[in-house]
Amino acid sequence: MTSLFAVSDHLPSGRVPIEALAGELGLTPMQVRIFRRYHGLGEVSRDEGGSLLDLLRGAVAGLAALRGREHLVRYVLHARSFPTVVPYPHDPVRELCAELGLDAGVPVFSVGHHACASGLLAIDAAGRLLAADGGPGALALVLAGEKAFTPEAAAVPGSSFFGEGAGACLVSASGGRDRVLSYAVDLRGEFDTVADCAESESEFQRIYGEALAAVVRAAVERAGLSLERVTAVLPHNVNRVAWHQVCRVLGYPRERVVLDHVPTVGHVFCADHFLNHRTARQRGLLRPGEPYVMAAAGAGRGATFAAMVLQH
Amino acid sequence: MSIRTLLPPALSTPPAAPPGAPSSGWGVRRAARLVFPEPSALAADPVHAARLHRYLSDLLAPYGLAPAEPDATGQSYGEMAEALIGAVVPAGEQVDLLVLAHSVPDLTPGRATACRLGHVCPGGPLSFAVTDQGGTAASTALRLLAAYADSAGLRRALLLVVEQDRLPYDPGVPVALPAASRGVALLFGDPLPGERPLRIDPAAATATAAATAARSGTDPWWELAGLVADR
Amino acid sequence: MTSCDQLVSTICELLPVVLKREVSGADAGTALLDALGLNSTTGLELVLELEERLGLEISVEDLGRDDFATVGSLAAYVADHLLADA
Repeated sequence: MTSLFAVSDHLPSGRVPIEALAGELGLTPMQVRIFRRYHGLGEVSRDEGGSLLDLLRGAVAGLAALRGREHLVRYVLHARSFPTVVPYPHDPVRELCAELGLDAGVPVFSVGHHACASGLLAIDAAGRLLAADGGPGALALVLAGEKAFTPEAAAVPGSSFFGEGAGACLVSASGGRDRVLSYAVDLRGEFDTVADCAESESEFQRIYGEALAAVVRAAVERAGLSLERVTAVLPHNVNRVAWHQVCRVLGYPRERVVLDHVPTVGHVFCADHFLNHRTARQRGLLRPGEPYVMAAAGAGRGATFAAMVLQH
Repeated sequence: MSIRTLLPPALSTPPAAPPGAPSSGWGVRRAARLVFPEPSALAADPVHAARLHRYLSDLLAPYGLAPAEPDATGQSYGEMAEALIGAVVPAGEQVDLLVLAHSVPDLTPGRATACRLGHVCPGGPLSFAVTDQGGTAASTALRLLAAYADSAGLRRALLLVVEQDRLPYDPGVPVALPAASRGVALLFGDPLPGERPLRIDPAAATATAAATAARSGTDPWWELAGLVADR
Repeated sequence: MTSCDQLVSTICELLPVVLKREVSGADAGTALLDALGLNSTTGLELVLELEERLGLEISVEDLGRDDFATVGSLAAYVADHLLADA
């Protein structure tokens, strides 16, 4: 059984109000007001002058469980919202692995094309690789986090602002906690068009809430559970209103969706689940033996809805 | 209904069993390989070129680098993969899993191409990409494909290996690019009557791929596709 | 106390502002999303413009797509979700 052996996250200390980013992103003052009032965004985290390596290194630094277990890591996966984040063949993930003293022969790769749901894909994929050939005690290191390096990676018009940060987890195939119970994914490739298309974009907005609710429900049902038993939902921090809509559709209490970081950090690409995991633990929303959900949707180019049920 | 639900691998799956082994006969049923000598039409699109130039400029700036002037060259892996899907998936058949592998970046570096391919490939497969492994992404993609076939029952699986011969910037460090833009498609599955799929051991494929990665990402797969065609 | 009729007419006045074009013959039954092509961004602009015009604050927490079906449905939402009187 796939499980998360340890989870960590890293947020840089810098915060930038969304008003300050409006100019370079071509947003009008009215659009910024809407982001604040309606979407619940306010400040986003930024690591000015810092690199992707800095962010990922920060997340792994919090993985105390990795120390002494470096030799057990068989795979390293970087989950990305944006498929290309560094100039090929530069590879900061590989550099980080060398710093950590991981075996040089360990496959280090990026997995994705599920936009901000790629972190869930990475956990699922890592678990299957380990189950196939990992050996007892083998682990996979899953990393997430990116730089808001270009306007496309800084905001999604009418939807969200990206925050810089990172998350890391150690995946095991030997059971234990937090155990993955199910994974549901809905790839909506019909919304992915090479050219920007207004009708496609507005249709995507229209189905968003229902599609995200449906995939959460599907994952919970596949795990043989009912929604009332789910103690918390760790969302992607796209914005507040999308998740309020999902809660209305599901009949799930919005207080149990960890949206704490939306106004102060923004949407940290594929890493939101890791920082929301920490917050959920701190708020007492994760109880041993009880199920919770991680869920995300892909915004922008790459429409994916995914949810994973785990047992704490 | 487009939602796929999966359960994680059971603890009882013995890790020593070769992926895909339980159902004997599972292997490569069909293969296709294509060269793409002409650049993608998208490369000449001025709107796309401007968007790409901004993306690349911002990508390269932290490294003190800049993109080359747009010159209407480059391949879209989405287009290459669609051509390969058309060539390898027999009419009327469905695919459960699609894994796209490449190392050289796409002409559309911000695009979730595999998500799109899940829509165009018959069967609406679970699709994703494996990239950035210095030329050996395809061998990890193969391991993943076998692992999903085994533990998630996604046995009609398509591996797409694509690499283009063009990098629109000088990365400031040595980089090996293939001599031509090529793509290979390997369709895995249980044999239909009369078929004798080619079995591949992912571990052996990894070793071969690593040895040849310096030359070209698609070489060992190109040769494999030739072997399948000859059977 | 702002009446629904007043809201309807104020909304109709603001339509050209957010849609940036002439809008004629709009009334309570006008379909905002379908007929006029309002989208989620211009819809929200409309609500915020309404706040400024009225000098009132509107709670947008529960605002959903259905509330933008017609001018009348939007007016009904606003009437139910005013936070403070000027």
